[in-house]
Amino acid sequence: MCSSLFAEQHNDYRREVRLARMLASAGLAVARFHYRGLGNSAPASASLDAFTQDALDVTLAARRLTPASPVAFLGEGVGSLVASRACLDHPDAPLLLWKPVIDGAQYFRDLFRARLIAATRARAPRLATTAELLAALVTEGHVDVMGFTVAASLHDSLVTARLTETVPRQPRRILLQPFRGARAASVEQLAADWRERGCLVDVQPVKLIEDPWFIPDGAAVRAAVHDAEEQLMANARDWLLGLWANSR
Amino acid sequence: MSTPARAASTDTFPETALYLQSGTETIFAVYTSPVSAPTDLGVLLVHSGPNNFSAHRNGVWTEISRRLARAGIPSLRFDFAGTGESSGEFVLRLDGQPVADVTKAMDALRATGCRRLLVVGSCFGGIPSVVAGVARGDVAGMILVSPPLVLPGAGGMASFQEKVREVINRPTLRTVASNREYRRWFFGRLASLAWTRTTVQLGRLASRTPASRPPEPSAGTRPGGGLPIESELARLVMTGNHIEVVFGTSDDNLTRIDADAEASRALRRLRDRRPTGLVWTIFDGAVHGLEDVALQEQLIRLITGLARDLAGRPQPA
Repeated sequence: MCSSLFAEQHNDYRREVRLARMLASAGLAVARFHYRGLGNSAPASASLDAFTQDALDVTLAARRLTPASPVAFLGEGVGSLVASRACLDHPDAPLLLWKPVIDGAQYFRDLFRARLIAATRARAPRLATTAELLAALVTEGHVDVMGFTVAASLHDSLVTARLTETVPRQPRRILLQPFRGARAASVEQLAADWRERGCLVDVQPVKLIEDPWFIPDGAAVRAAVHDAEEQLMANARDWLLGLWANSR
Repeated sequence: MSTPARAASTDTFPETALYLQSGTETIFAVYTSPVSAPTDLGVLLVHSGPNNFSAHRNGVWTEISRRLARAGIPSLRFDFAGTGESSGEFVLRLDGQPVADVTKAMDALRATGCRRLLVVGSCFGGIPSVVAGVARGDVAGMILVSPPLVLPGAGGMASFQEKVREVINRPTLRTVASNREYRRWFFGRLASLAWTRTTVQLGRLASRTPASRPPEPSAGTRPGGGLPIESELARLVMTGNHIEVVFGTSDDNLTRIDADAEASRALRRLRDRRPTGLVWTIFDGAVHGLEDVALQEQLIRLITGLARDLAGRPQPA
């Protein structure tokens, strides 16, 4: 599982844990990890290539721990870019993407806008503009976005990345599960592009919001979110189990 | 107490993943061993509850653990039940599972050999830390980072009025009027909100679910003004512990105290009784949620500085 990053990860983390346990209950081994330099992992320079290598290293380690041979990759949010690259080394691996980030540049535009909400809620006196942030990335090598250190090495490697250009080298089974939000608009085009390249792509829209920061946490809303998450995870599990059952 | 531990980090920072039994739940913790001569003080890092995990925002807890390790101070960070890697469902309570989780983490840290504890609680995490800490004699100090000493609303959750104030306030409206980027974002989020509420209402109608559900369990919370944990704080302060409360000038949790006359009086009483025992530190900006990297660094220095100071003091007889 290749997780999302920054503020998005705080909402996504628990969902990934729950999916891992749901899959384990169904007999599938799951490996999750913190990218280098983040969470509980050791300090290191961050980049898309480095994170992709982390995913491949973890896959190798997981394969030593379990006799299972087929492997699948799941990417959530910007982790979709990591997962789609990692799976290039595994020709038969199915790919599952939750609320995929299709365009790295758009991802950072949205992240820098989200910073405005956070700063306004915190009653910050004056916000740095996006142009000022980009200048600081060059001069200081990192910027603060909502309490997360965004390193220039990570920004520079992600900002040019596009899912459409991560060309599957082989026909591959792919499940796209877009959430409601800006990213969903580009998913159909992505699916069409990948189908043209010989992939078998399923699209299952999900009744969850991409970035739920403005959604009140009332009991009814929480219950609705929980139900939608259960459905999302069950669909991912059933898709994967069905795929592997049919391939035997 | 703990099921088999596994080495989980680098040579520089020897860290061990622990799975601790807390009632019926299994909670996940990371223990960081000192890399220089060990002191008798251990630091427990308690995160803020929902939507958080052991490393805390931007890995702040991880960074603190590793700086402490260099100073010979062991530390432990953990996930409340229902958060991060732990089992169960998180419930916002001032007693029960969250307190049991903190107690279990304290016991696990003591079991590594340290005799005194400095407990650092972020936001909600500070509250069960105080409740658990008052029941034992090994807590030497506590740092409460933007704790909700006055609970939002009556039941521990933000009231509708507070939610409205969060959106309809002068800075937000000014930014909506003056910033095109923000305006686009703001109205996009309002549309998302409207969509979600409509979906929920339609779902209720379809399933004939009653509109008013029973309130969430929040045993231990007391509606109305005042400090729900005043007596626990008083006991910690009076028994010689160092309690440091850290806020940012724009933290809602600080505003709530200022707006609550009863809570303000209670805090004055505590500070009057032992001024050196209850230290009030206010940073400029927002400490709550650790949403500012520069403030994170100030906080890290404050926490590691107090830990080194306490570790250097002899244990009271």
